[in-house]
Amino acid sequence: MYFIDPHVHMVSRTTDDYEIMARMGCTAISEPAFWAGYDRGSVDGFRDYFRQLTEFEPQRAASVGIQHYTWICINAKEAENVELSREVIAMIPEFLDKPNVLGIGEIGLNKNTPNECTIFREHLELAAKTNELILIHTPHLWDKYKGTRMIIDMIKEHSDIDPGRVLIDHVEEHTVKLALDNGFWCGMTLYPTTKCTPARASDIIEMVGTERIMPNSAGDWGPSKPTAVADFIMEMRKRGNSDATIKKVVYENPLSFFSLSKRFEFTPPEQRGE
Amino acid sequence: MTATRTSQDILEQDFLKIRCLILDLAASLDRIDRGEGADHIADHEQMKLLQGGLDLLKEDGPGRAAKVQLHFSDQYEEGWNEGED
Ligand SMILES: [Zn+2]
Repeated sequence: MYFIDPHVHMVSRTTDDYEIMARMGCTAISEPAFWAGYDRGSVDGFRDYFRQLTEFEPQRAASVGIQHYTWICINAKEAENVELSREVIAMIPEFLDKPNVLGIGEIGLNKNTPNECTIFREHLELAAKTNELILIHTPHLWDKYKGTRMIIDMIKEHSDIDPGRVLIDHVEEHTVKLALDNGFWCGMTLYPTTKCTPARASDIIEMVGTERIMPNSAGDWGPSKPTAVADFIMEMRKRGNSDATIKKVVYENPLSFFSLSKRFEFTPPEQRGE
Repeated sequence: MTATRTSQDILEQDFLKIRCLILDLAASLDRIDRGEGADHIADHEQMKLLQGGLDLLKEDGPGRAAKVQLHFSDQYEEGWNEGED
């Protein structure tokens, strides 16, 4: 079955990972801008990273037949440095007309601090002004519930942001309904340790249905598995779900959400080479 | 969307997996108890949190997973952003 991984940090992965994902049926990925494991020292460090996301990664993905999309921002962790964050936000528009950019992301909160809120709101300003899609990172572990509520509160401060153009990522059992009931899209992140598993993600689908929801691997430089969406497909199959149900969440939903971006162009795998 | 399997199917398919999870929990708690200073650990904040989490497993379901998640979550204050500019 073809699938899309809507959240994976391929700059941290090898070309072998791209190839394994492609062999398992991955036909497209989207890569949000994130924390590199260390704080970057200057706005030029981010500019170089955004060039990697918009120039080099699409080529590397294409070499194995995967279509690469991306999201641009300064992540919540580095948002603690407000001055640098503002320089980065001012530079983001340089990249908003690149063909593989879907919008602003992954923005959000990490430790739910005032500085993170300041920079989150300034990203929202930019996204509202440029009518870009938004991809939201929610905190992990004990910060998640409070952080998700705060994020939704801040989005609601904006009457000019349509929740139907925003995806709230890393939802779990206690936050999935907050996202869906408020009209947002949502992502479930499958992580081998400490976070949601393929079994729990399948449970969530059984509880909330298949509308506006999609799994992702959030594969990065930490313990993570870029093939986690394929694991989810297997778990759903073992439970007796139809291929149509599975395809809806791992393929059709990401496509529907990405299609809301004015730049999104996609060739279905069946039409490749035509 | 509803579940694709009956409760009995799930029980039969997952019984050994769940048994293993319970054993993992039991062995983890034993490990704490075997450590030095185990007599004083019951008052530790994290120990109380774990105990509260275990208590939630005995409640009626479904909804236990969400309750456990909330149990391990920071408090959210409604209206935290009111009066800000
Ligand atoms: Zn991420």
